[in-house]
Formats: sequence, C-alpha cells, structure tokens
Amino acid sequence: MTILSLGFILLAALLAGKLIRRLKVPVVTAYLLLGIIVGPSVLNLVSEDILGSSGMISNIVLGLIAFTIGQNFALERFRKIGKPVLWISIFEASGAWLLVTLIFWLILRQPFYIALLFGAISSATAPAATMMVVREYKAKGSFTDTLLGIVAIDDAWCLIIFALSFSVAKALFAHISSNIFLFKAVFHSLSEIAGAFILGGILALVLAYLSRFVTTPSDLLIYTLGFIFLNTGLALYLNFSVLLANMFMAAILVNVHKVSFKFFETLRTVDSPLYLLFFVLAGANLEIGLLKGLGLLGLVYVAFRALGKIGGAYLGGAIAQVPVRMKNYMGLALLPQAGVALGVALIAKTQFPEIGGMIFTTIVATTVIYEIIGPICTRISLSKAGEI
Amino acid sequence: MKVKDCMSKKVVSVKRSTTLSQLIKTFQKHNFHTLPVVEEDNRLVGVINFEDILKVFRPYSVELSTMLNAVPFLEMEFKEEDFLAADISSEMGILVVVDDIMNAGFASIDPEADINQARTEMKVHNTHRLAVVEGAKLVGMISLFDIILTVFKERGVIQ
Repeated sequence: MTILSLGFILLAALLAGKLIRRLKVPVVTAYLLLGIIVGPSVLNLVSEDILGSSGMISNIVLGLIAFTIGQNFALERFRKIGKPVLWISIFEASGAWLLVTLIFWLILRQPFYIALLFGAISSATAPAATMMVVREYKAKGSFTDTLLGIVAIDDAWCLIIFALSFSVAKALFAHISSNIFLFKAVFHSLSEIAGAFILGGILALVLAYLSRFVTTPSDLLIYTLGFIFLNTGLALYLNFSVLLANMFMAAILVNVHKVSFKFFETLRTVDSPLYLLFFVLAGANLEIGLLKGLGLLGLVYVAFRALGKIGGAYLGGAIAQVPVRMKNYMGLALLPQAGVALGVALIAKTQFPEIGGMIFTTIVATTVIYEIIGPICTRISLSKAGEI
Repeated sequence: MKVKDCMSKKVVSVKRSTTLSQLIKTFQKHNFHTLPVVEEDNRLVGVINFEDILKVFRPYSVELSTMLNAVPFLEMEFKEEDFLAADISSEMGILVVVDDIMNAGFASIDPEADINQARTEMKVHNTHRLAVVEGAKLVGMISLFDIILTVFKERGVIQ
C-alpha cells in the first residue's frame, strides 16, 4: 500500500500541477490542495505508513531547503546584494515576525511561545508566486529587481528567525510544562543554536576537504546527500537546530570551496520529487476539523502579517533611502506565502503535538488565502510602481 | 601524463565586454561548446557555454538570477525560458555582453595535474572542456578530445 500510495501521489501531483498552472497559480498550491483531498480528512487515500513518515520526510526536505538557501551567504554575493534589498528584506521579515508575535500574545492572549512561533512563520514569503506575477505581466525596472532580490533572500531570514524563535519557544515550553528554571531553559536554547553552527561548520570543512575523492557525478550526488543527511541526523540526535546546521554548512562551504556550486547543482537532479512529496504530505496533515475554531486566529494572522510586511518594508526602504514608490508599495508585493512557511509550520506541529495541529492548520489555510490574494497584491504594487 | 602535455595552447577566448553577436559568431566559427572569459592580462574570470546564451531571455540581471537559483521550489515552477516564443530585439546583439551571462563559478585545472585528474574533473562537472590555469592566468584549454587524441597517438592508433 505504501508504494502504491507513493506512485499515486507522484503521478496525481504531476497532473494537478499541470492543471493548476493553467489557472496561473503556483504548483505548490496544487500539491497542497491535492494533499488535503487525498488526506485522511477527505478521501483518505494515503497510507498510514507514509503519513507516519511525514516527520522524517519534512526533516530531510527542510535540511535540503536550508542547505540550498545557505548558498546565498557567499560573502562576495552578499557584498553585491545592495542596500535596498538587504534593509527592506530584513525589516519586512522581522516586521511581520514582531507584529504577529505581539498581537497574538497581547491581543489574542496566546501563550508567548505560541505567539512567537506564529510570528516567526509569518516572516516567510513565496518567491514562486511573486515570480509568476513578474513574468506574467512582464514587469521590468528597479522595483521589480529589488522585489525579486528580496524574495530570493527573504526565506533565509525566515529560516534564521524561525530557528531562533523555535529554540526559545521550546525553552519556554519546557520552563512552563516541566518547571525547568528559565535560566537553564535559555541555556539549552543557546546551546542548540551554537551547536548547530559548530556542527554545520565542521561538516562543511570535512565535506570540502574530502570532496577531492569524488570522481563521478553519481558519487557527487551520493556524497552531497550523505553529508546533508549526516548533518540533519546529527543535529536531531544532539538536539541542535536542523535548519541552522544545514544553512551554516552551505554558508561555510560556498566561502571556502572554489567550485562549491557543483554540490548545489547535483541536488537539483533529485529535489523535485522530494519537494512534491513534502507538499502533498503537508496538505494531507491538515486537520480540517480544526479549521472551524480558527477563523479569528487566521484572520488576525492574515491582517497583521500583511501590516508587518508593509510597515517593515516601509521602514527598511526609509533606511536604504529608496524612492517613495518603492518604500510605499514593496510590502504589498511581498504578501504571498507558501513553501517555507509550510515547512517550518510542520516542524512546529511535530515538536508541539498539543498545539502544533492548530498552528499548522492555520498556516495551511492562510497559505491558500495568501496564494490567492497575494499575487493580486503583487500585481497592484507593480502597477502602482509603474513597472507593468 | 600531465595536462600541459595534451592541452591546446592556442586558446580562443572572449572578454567580459564581448557582445552577444560577437560571441555567437565566435561559437559559430570555432565550434566549441565552452569558451573561457579573460581579462586584458589573461586572467581567467569565467567560462561561457553556448547554452548560457539562453540566459538573455531572462527578464532579470545575472546577479539576481544567481540569487534566485538558490531559492527552493522555483525550478519546479519555471523550467527553461521559452526562447522560441520570446520577444527578441535586434539591439540585443550589442546590448548584451558576455559579463551578463557568463558563469563566474567554474572548474579549472593546473597544467601540472595528471590527465586522469582532468578527466575526473570533466566527469564531476559534467563538461568536456576545462580551462587550464596557472596562478590565475589562463594558459590553455583541455578537452576530452585532446585526451583521446593524445592517448591514441601514444598507443599508435593514429600517427
């Protein structure tokens, strides 16, 4: 049944992706909706074995995602990135993070660790949806270039913000539930982050040094995947952040290894089916029953994430001294939410079984909403900026 | 046998400032898949494959395209540019230069390296042609055909 389920998921998702592309909606949304339909909440066509392995698959995929995103931290590339992209991306990501966290904590009266998780997830954007609008309307100009630069780097900030918030949330949860001293809990959280950096750094150096023994393209793929799994597995075993460990491994690798691009290129040959499986399983993990009670939560999330991004982008734009139109409309262009938000929400679900379902269901539902209204907002802001 | 013993020392190269139309003519004339990109002092700064020409159909800069390359899931949405249906203006031939589309990350080999190593590098990087670099300067190019030719000559298969 498990293998049959896998075959069905891959082929049905491929078909769903082709169909939804005609509607100008990102294929990620198709995978997600397919997952919801074939999942236990609706048709129940996915075997329990596969559903049970969602945690493992999401850890592997998030390891891959973090590693892939980490290559943007090449110092040379960072120098060329430009002030507007850097400042606006940092401020819009942290703007959504802070505002959503504060509103969930102070207004919705959610425990601080839950508010922090919602805030961190809200910092992600959806490069694919943004790109789709840019291409469809043939947008061109400095606003478009800055927008694409921001969505390219933004998910890296999201992973860092989430990794930090996740580790603090775990510490606070342990402090509340097991009466562990706050100091000890904070120390655990710091060691989780520092450990990830040390682990990722050491493995990057070993990976770079031993790569001279790799002699064929298939060896290269096995070698790269092997190191990502090793890093992910060790991070899980040692209770370090999987996201930071993999991102840092890539960041060190691109700065110490002259031809590091080969490690990232080889992953492209295998990542698509894994991402596909990940999104379908994300959809299948949705607990539709929880949706009824999440109306207000979802609404507040959608509204204040948007405000945080718009306000943050405005502040970042003011610091970088960008033109008024860019400052005013960039946040609106950044509203789509997709893959990375789902990925980190799935981590939250796995780690906090009691409240994770509520967080994950809210993020899946708001992702569907944002994938519909987000591209419209992106189009409006590109039009206001005079680039379409 | 060393790389320097079978590499081609007469190298056809292009500059960062070479225009797209000059580049296409160079590819057409010399029938190479890969060309080195050098500075005035012969310092190797990149390589360019004929497939890189397709990058001109991307609506954004090379810097941006490198960054977007690192974004997960984008590949799932956007495969190759549909260049057969793209709008192409004749000005593109002089407006686009090699610097806009070359690969600044590339594999190279030392002239003192063994040809086995050159072959391995070609396999790992999925290419048939490598730049031979001494210090940072381009001193030659070695292709799979150069290696085959040298080995066959050595074994007496060809004179």
